[in-house]
Amino acid sequence: MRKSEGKPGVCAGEDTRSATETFAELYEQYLPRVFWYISYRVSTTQLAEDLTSEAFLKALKGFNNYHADKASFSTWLLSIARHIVIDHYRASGKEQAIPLEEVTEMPSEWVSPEEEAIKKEELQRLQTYLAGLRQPEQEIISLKFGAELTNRQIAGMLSLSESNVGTIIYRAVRKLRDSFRGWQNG
Amino acid sequence: MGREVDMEKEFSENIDRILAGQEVKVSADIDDDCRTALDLAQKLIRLRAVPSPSFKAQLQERLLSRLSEEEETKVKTTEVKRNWFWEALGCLVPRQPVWQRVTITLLVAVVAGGVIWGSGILTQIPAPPPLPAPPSAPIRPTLELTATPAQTAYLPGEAVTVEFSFKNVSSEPITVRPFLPGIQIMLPRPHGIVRSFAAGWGDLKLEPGETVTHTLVWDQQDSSGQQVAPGYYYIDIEDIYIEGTEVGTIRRGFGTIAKVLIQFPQGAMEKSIEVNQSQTVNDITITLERVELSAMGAKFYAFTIPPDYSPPQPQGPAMPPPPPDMVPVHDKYTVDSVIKDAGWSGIGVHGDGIRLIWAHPAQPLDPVPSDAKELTFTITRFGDWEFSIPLEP
Repeated sequence: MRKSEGKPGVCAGEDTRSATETFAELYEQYLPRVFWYISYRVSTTQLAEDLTSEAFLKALKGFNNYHADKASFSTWLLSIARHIVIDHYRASGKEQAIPLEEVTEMPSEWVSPEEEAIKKEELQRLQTYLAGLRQPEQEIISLKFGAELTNRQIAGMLSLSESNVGTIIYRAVRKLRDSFRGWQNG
Repeated sequence: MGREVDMEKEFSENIDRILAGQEVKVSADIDDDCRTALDLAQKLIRLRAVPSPSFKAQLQERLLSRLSEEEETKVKTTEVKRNWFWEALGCLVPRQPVWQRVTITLLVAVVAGGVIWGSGILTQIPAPPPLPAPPSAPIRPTLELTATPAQTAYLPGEAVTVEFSFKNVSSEPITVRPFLPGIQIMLPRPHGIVRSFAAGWGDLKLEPGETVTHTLVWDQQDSSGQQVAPGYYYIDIEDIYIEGTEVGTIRRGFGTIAKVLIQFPQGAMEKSIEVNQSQTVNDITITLERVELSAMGAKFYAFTIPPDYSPPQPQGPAMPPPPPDMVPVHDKYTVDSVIKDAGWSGIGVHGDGIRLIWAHPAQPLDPVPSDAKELTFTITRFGDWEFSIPLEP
């Protein structure tokens, strides 16, 4: 917890910022990470946006049940997102399947059309290869590169050891690398 | 085994550095396996998709709306209850000395098209589908914000003048914050912001019916000081907070509210070209019928009979929907090797097939320069139908 400057032991909640201002900051801070995490786990941007909305709405509704001494806000919020993704696949009755022709939203960077085309294809390939990983590997890759959690946070969330998480990440990334190499080498 | 553990540790540490925006630090004896794994990890991060601005804005509005409803409910009760939610959140977020501007633009320039029902000649380009309304209380009209460029088209280098008008259309005084709001000059998706004009730090108080205007002058330079290329540019307004006694505090996204065209100095090609070329890909034949080029933009017209399509029986205004696989299609066009996104087509069902049209009043396609040598048009759904359009006089 951050403490108010000059007032040790007093929470910054006593400052004069409105709830709206505070929420706007949290939203800006955590929306990308929740969205990235979910994007790694589902096949389309539209679905990622839908599930991200669900996650934030659920978090807003259930915040009275959040206890900062039990988990950091990011871990708590990502847990909600994680369960929403799991529920989605349970409801749809299928594992993540990424058809190669699926077009996915590209980052709105200022890139040349040629670079954009290359990145689009790489993104499609990446989603396919991610779907080819074992489910625990997909989950951990998504939490690491999407939600930007530390290995320790991931370990706590998934009841694994921190070293185990590091090993899984390293191996999964090398598998993805080998898949990309196989594609690039034709 | 020991070496693998060392490499794994080095890898983990560097991933955390990359995610923290720091530089990678590799040891002198890092092996190729670890190095290439780090390269792939950086690619994973570079390829992360981004949430669309419209999605960000809509979700934020929904959440803030819910929050406002909750707070209104709490205020209305006779007992004052502490809002543990926000105090607890306040402990999580560092203090900021000033209002932190949240910059989300609401793009309404997505042309998804609709379906025109009819049995005759297509006479109207369909409007983009309306954005889904958030499940919240109806928004009372408060602020009317318009932007009017002095001209619809400018030559390169000319100062682009846009007048913004802020009018209080409610029955109570309101405060608009920030004033001036942030303004962005944008290209159509998938491109992004060309130039930003930061929001001011003050606010604007408006009595009922009062109007305040402000003029923005854009020198046609992008954020790096370079003259922008000819084409359409969209003027976006960043979200604004509106405060009033009755409305409380609401956040309004205005998104794209105007556009200007930067013309080619040599002028635009103006002609209608009967193309009538057909391409068959994956057993689907599409005929590019004609292209209309004008000073205000390009329009492409195509026609197709989807597989298993059967002409609808004339039954008056109610027509069956087109096959879902053909609704709608996305494409690009190339002018002298410069690739442009043509967005999504509008479609119309006709007796004998489906007509596809690219261009929409809300997001017109850029004009083609008068001295262009090559024009190609590529439809990119379920394959690539590429058409080369003759430009000779």
